Parts: sequence; C-alpha cells; structure tokens
Amino acid sequence: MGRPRVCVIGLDGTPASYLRRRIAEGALPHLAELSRQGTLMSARAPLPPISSVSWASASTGTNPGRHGVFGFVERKPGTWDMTFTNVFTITEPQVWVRAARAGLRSIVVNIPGTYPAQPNDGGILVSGFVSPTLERSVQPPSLIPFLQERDYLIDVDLGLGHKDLDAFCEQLFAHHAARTRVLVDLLTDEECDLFYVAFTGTDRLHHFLWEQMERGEEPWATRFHEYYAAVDASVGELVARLPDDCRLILLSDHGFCRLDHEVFVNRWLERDGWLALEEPAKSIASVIPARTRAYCMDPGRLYLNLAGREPGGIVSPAEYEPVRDELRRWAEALPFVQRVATREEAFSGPHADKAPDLVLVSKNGWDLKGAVRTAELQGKGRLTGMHTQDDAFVLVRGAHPEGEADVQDVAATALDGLGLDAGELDGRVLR
Amino acid sequence: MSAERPDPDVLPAASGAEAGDEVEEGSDEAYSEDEEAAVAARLEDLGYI
Repeated sequence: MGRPRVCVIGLDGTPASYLRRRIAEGALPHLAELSRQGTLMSARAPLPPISSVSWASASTGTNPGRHGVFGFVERKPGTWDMTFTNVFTITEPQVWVRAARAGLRSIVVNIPGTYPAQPNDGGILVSGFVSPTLERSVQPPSLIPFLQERDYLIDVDLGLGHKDLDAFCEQLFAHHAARTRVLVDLLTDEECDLFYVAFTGTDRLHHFLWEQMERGEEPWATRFHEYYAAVDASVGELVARLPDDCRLILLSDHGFCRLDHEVFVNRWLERDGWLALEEPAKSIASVIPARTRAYCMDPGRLYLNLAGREPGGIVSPAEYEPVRDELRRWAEALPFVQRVATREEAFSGPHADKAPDLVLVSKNGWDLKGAVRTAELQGKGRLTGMHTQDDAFVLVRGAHPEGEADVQDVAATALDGLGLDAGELDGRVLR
Repeated sequence: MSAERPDPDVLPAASGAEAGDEVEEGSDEAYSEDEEAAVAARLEDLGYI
C-alpha cells in the first residue's frame, strides 16, 4: 500500500458530447490532456438512468438485476408505502468491498447510494447523495472533524436552485472547492490502493442550468462553463498527485440534455383508464388498487397491479403477459416515449423479479416523473436539464478500447487494475 | 449482459455483511423518521418524487 494503484473520478451526469465540444473549443485543459492519453468513450447507463441505479452499477460492475437498485424509491413490499433505497439495497459487493477482502485499502468519497456509511475495513468512506446527516455518512467517524474543518458539505441546498439561482451558484462553487480540498488532502496524506470519488455538483448544475447554457443565456452560460473549468482544475490537481502507473478511470453515470417537459406518467395512465387515484394524491399510497391495472414509479418504471405482489392487485398472474403486452403497446404510442423495455430485456439476475415490468425510455426533452401531486399530464418547473441513458462517458488513461462503454465497465476495469478477478461481472475490462 | 451471476452464498454484500448474514434490503432503518423527511425533500427538489 502506498499511492493508489487505481483512481476512479466520477463527474456525475457529464455528457461525453459536452466534454468533446468544450475540449474542441480549447477549454478544459486537464480533461483535454487526458483525452489525448486515452479514448474518451461514449457510455451507456443502466435503466433507469438515475444516479442511485447507475452508481450501483459503476461500483459493483453489475446490472440492476444483480445489484438490486432500480430507483431512489421503491414500494415497500406488502404495502403501497414508499421506501428509500440505500446502501443496504445493494446486494453485490462494490469494488472497495472486494478490495478490502483482498487486503487492499480504499478511500471512497461521495458515491451516491452509499448511505449510511459502512465500515470500510481500515479505509475511508464518506457517503454521497442521499445522505441526510454527516454523522452517519463518515467511516471512520473520527474523520468528521477533518471534513468540518474544510467546510465539507455532502450536497448543495437544492432548494436554492428553485428560488435563487445566484445563491445556488455561489454555494455550488464553494461546495466544489471544499470537496476538492478534502479530496486533495486525502490523496496527499493517506495511503490507499483504491481512490474512488465523485463530483456530483455537475449533476446539480445541469438540472438547474442546462437550458440556459444551451441557449447562451447570461450570466448562467458563463457560470456553467466556469464551473466546468473548476471541475477540470480539480481533476488536474488530483491527477498530478497520482503515480504515472496508476490506472486512472474517469466516468459519468449518465448523460444529460435539455428538459422541455416534465411528464407525469401516472396521470397519463389515469387518463387512459389504467390507474385510479384518491385525491388529493400524494404518492403511490394514493392508488386505488381495485381500479388500477398499472402504475408508475419514478422515473419511468411501470408495474402491473399484480395479484399476489401488490396489495389488492387485480391483474391475475395468468393475465400478466397479455396485460403487459397491452400496456407496452399503449406506452409505445405515447408521444414522449422513445422505446419500451421489458424487465427481461433490461435486467438479469436474482433481483430481476423485483424489477419494473416495463421501463419507459423517453425522447430527449421529455423528463418522466412518477409524482402524482399535480393533476396535469405535463408541465415545467425550475429544472431545465434531464438525464439521458446514452451520452455518458468513460475514459481510461492509456487505454483505447473500441465501441461504446457501459458504466458497469468501470468496476471491472478498476478491479482488474487492482490485480483482482473481474471475470464474473457484467462489465468488461476496458484496456 | 451476462446471465452468469455470483453465488449469493459465497460473495459478501456491498454493505460489508458476511455471506449468510441477514441483509436489510431497502431497509426503513437505514433512515430515521426525521432523516426520511430530509431525504424526501431532497428527492423532491430534483423532481424524483
């Protein structure tokens, strides 16, 4: 143990196309240099393309049917109540767990879906989104003063993005600087074999400022690019502290595009007779099971109201296939749907039976929502960017693999760099 | 996507549990009641619920 043998740096939600464009324009000098040293590959996220799912794939090297995470929220078995996914939902070992079992030390910071922080076998782990308290986000807890001295925040105040973009941007930059201070100090002062970290401010920036950036609307477009300049500088600071033979992997967990419409899928289901809700509806707990054949969980996960699975389910197991076919045809005809995947097409593994029956992939611009609080079919709020399954990126220093990457390849490539076997993973080693 | 999968009795869970341990899936206990409210607010801010 000494300096890291493998370093993974995540830029949450950063599109490959954005990086290529800015590099071509002469911006982002550190990322530009890295893209000369390795191929900046376009990458694909698992379905649905949200951070809880995608980071579980990027850290375990498996598809959601194996790691068990299909969203930020799930229906609590046997009820219509919602529950939040968390580190216990992930049932495949993450790279750092496998590393620890091999006697290797890891530093893991800000990876979504790792709350509450679990002991990292002599290493360090600081949980990422969604982590409501610092106290339960840090292992070992003795690291908390170190983080507080550096003004470390797990996340920005997302509410600011809805009401005060100036203040939101100011906090975003301060938050990024604090995160960088922590990462640089950890990398400088701590020994480890694996350094696995993510910058997630990029995702927040995109959610609130993507459209403004695209339109060149000032001052936001400039702020957007300035933020990426800060990210690029941080990447440069970290990379400068790595040994030359360290396997360096950069990735984003999904892509991003402009959000034109928020689509409330449950209201479309209701309009066409698939779903009934008690009003005022607050969540899927408002579903009226006796009059519901299908419902949606965020972002585009469709479930039949299946007898024996959902409480009060009215679709019998014998009707499952024909009803799902009917639902699929209905979904494929919706104006905002690009394609529909069945659970068998999208997932494999021991948790595939918990997967959504169908997953909607929307056209760019149409952001699918599971929320039921609005009675509208669609709308638009303060969010101006949305996730995409494609246009994520992976870059491995010194590697020039062909084709498109998958974010699950990151874990396989990291394990391989640690000298551990990645053969049983879904992801491939990018060399 | 590989159809092969590891034997869950052999590999430990990501939470660090040993094989054979009871692992809470989607556990409510991961978040206290107060924490759940904070989590819900953050997810709502990003449009997830």
